[in-house]
Amino acid sequence: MASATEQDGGTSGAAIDTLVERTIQRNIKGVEYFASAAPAVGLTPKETIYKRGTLNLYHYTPLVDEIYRVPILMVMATTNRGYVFDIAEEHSFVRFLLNAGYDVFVMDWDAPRPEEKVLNLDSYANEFIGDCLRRVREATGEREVSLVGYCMGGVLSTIYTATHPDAPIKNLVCFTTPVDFSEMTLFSHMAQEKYFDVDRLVDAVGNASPELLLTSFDMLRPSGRAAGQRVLWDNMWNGDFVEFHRKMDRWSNDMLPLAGEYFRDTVKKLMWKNQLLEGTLEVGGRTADIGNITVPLFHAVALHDHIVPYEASKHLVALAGSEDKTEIVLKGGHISLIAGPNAARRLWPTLDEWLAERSV
Amino acid sequence: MADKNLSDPMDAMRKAMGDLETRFDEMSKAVFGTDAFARTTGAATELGAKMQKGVSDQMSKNLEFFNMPSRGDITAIGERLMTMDERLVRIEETLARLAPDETSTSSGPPRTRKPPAKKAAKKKSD
Repeated sequence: MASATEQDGGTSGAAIDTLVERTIQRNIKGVEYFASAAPAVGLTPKETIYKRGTLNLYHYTPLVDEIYRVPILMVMATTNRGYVFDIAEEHSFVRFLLNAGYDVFVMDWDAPRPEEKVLNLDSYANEFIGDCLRRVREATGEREVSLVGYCMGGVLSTIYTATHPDAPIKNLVCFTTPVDFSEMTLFSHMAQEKYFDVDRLVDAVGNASPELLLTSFDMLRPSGRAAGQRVLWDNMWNGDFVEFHRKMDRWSNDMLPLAGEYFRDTVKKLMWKNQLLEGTLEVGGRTADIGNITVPLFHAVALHDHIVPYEASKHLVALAGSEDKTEIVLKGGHISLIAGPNAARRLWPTLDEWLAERSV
Repeated sequence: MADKNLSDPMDAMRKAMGDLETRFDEMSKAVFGTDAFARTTGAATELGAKMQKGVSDQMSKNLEFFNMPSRGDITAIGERLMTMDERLVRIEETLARLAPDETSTSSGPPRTRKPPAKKAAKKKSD
């Protein structure tokens, strides 16, 4: 029988072997990292069925022989690209939904062109969503559609549903959707009316630059980039980790400018006056009162969300007039809630369980 | 992903780095949360916008001198195209309302899927 000292020595030896092996692998894969091309993203087969300036409407090809009656229209946040829903084959939210039997459409955004600086909150929350809903109905022959929004996409979906209580929305699904913008602490502090002249910025440059937005997001977790590089180096020996990290890194840096008037509306109406929470937001001549939402509502929020804290998002379910409404708080951050292994394990099956019985 | 089953001699270093990052974030956010920082950032953003506008105006004058279209001219053409695009959307909407496309049906798989029985039994509401 081996003595305790021998066992300790064996364990230490194995740990040192692992350390040496990983150090070698880090160097080999580190060279590969810099020598290889950027990994491909968004590979699930799809068709762009509509394009209107900054807006793209994708229809993903069904992957099963029988699908639910009600199609899904996903609304991406206006700050980032929609391929986060389809970041990698094994970590693709879209592919999960397709395999689960849903007919999936996604509203994605290109960078708004200089002339699109005139697009405002009404354009996004009223015209674009209304336009896409009509096209989804035409493409599917179905009257009802489930609206699914992520972050600001959730805000737009909420505004549309609240301003169109008679629209054939079957279900409203939101992920990390802020309602009380005063709780977006650092954003609301930096954008205070007395220090931040949004009129001068928009009048001078038109669209709000992605650099401005990226800097704002970085300020929420200042060590985030350095920590990301440290974790990457630590796991450089692990090919799967490196590939997923590269894809997410590409996505998080691939930020979009915001259309000038939309940015102005967001700052003035949502950040300064908190009109969505107050129920005084006017969009397209209608009042966006969350109490008007009566369709089944599902809201998923992340426990460790540093961008949209729970205090900012908790009001959606509380204020909605729906009888059938669900809020779930899941482990994870703002992005890991919807993408990656954490999402595949937690959010996706939970959503499927909720949505399936409401999609027939 | 990181293998957490092995005792790694670098674990202590990782923990120390993690703690350092957390402290750095807390200190930075304390600074970002001050009025002085918000005022300075606001002023810097405004200055940047003014500079960009100044350079843009000067460039437009130079292009005009050489009888070339400026960014403003191209943007103006883009705005007109966008207006036409919006008109087309409105016309399409009106047509769809007046004469709905009866032949418009899905050509994909049948929409007859039912949820699995065990899932249908569960329901969670607030």
